[in-house]
Amino acid sequence: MTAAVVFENVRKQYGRVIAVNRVDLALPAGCVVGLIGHNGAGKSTCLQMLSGLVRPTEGRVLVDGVDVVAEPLAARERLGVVSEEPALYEYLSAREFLEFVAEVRGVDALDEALELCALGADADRLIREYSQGMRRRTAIAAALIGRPPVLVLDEALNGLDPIAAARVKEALRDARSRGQTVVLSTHVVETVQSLADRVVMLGQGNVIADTTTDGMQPGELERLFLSRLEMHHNDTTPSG
Amino acid sequence: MRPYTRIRRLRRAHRAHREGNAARIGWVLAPLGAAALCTPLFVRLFMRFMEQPSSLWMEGASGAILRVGWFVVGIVALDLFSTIVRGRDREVLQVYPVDPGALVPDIVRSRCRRNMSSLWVMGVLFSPIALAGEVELWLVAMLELTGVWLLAHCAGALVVLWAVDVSEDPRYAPFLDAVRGNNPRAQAAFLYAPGLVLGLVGSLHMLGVSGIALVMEGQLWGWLLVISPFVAAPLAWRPVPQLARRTWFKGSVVLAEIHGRYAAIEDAEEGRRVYLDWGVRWLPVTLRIHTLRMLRHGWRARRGWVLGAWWVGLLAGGVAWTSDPLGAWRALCCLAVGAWTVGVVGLVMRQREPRGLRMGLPVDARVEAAATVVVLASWLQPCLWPAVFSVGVRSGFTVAVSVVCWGSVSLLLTASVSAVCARWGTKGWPIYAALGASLTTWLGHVAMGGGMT
Repeated sequence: MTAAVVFENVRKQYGRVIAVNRVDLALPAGCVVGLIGHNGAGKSTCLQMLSGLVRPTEGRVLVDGVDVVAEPLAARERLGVVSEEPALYEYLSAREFLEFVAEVRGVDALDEALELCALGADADRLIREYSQGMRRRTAIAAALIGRPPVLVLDEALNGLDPIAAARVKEALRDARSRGQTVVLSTHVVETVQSLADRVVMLGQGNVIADTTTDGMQPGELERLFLSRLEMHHNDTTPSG
Repeated sequence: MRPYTRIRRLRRAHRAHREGNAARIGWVLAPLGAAALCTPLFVRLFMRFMEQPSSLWMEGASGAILRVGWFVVGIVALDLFSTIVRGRDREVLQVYPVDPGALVPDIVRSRCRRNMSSLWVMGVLFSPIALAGEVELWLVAMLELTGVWLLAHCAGALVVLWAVDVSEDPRYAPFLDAVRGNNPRAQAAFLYAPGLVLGLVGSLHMLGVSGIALVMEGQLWGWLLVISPFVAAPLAWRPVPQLARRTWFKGSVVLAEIHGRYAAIEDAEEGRRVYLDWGVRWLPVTLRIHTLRMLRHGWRARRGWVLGAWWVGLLAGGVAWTSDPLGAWRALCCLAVGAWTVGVVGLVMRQREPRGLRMGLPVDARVEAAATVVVLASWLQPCLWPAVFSVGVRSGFTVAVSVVCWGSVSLLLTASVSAVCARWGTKGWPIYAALGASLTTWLGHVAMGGGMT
């Protein structure tokens, strides 16, 4: 069976800085995968490469068997992306923006998206008047429109109030149950443990652990992450 | 109607509703007002042929039409680059499965609509020709300039999209490496794309202008040359949708690469931070903090405007390298354009600053305005001195001192207008456009009283 997302020996380098180093991953359909790591670990770079916004220096990234750099339009048809700072048209309302995205994706499923936004009457106000959380909800709803096979969320739950966060988590679980793959990054370990089936830990651009969350006790993931990070740090720091 | 067109119209309508009719009218009237104010100066500088009998006008008129056409082509080329490659549509739509073959033509059409004012401005600037009775010359010139304006949009889109392809094509790598300076290779393709548009469209404009002369002499085949831009425009436009499908998404990847490379360069720039500290050490502490912030952020985020102004400064130096008394005048006009260009940084920085910054970090408006003036005046220095040097060598010390004085007035005035207009958000733009550009040149015109000798 084709994996929904494949990172094939992916490396990203800017000048002398190695942002991502030899990442090999195959993520199956119908799962939630959490990327965790410290600041600068390479989470966002991985997700930007998955979104087709950054080209790997070596290797390639496939979505549903499609190379995201070689076939950008086909890849985007299979992707729903929420970036860390989602860009929206300031002089549109959320309803108008979501209508537009639905039209671009060739679907007619606006109610579901508006329900997820939970903006109520605010859906008809201009986006420029929205708070950070409202903008993020709009961007998440836009990414879910058309039920693309792969959802990419870069720190997407940041800035959401607890009710909105719970609603989004529920929507992501629904997406998983429909066979969509969700790849999300965060540095909040509890979020990943509560949501993800599988966790990929990054440290200084390397995969330092790739594990499932089945049967994990509260706090266990955080302890595992910290111990792996320390091990990796010791391995890469020259002694003496 | 395509979704992109529909959404653009919606955005425009919401914006107009939000900002009110006054701002909308301002956007139309400001360029016309500025052009009307500048027309007497324009006549004095570029249309002195009108002092001769009308039978001898053609040579001088050709020169003026040529220069104005080139200027407009340059502006259109830069505008298309910034909207197609770095525009808001890319920021928002790069993650969605949009059809670039429909999106990019829609962007270009919207820019045509927006840049329509440059046609009215040219009409106003050359209106003295029609008012003096040479209506036919004015009409033919406007027809040719309209064709060039249209071709600039079509060829501009084509070249900008092609530049995305070229930026990473190994066949062009040696050439790009030779011309890129300290910039990443891919950026070199973007930097030179507007120049290529100017070169291509500008060449055809020269033919068109020679056609105007032939038409005025009664030679019918001159019309072929006059309308040649109208013929070339659809030819340039034809491959645009297909090229857009191939390169528009790739543009995001190339931009990310460029930003990554610049980030590496800027790490090195951090090491030179001490010189900025040193440069502003004589300012009071509060002013120093904001000056340093604007110097760093403005340079890193908006250096294109500053570098553009320095190029204009070099142009002013070139223009002033003549013994013609009008050379200093022309240099002052170039200086005013350079000043206006740098002044835009003040407006853009204020408009694009992070949401909530002002709430979190309350700033004394007077201190901020003073910092803006200091920073803009500093950046304008390289704009001023090439002209002063040229005038000093070619026209003498006294004239050079005049250029320093009036250039400084122009620079300070533009910097001050920019600082004030920045506080009014988008509503400040038309006011800035009218005041910053017209007032400085107009003041120079009045103060010089007709010459520097």
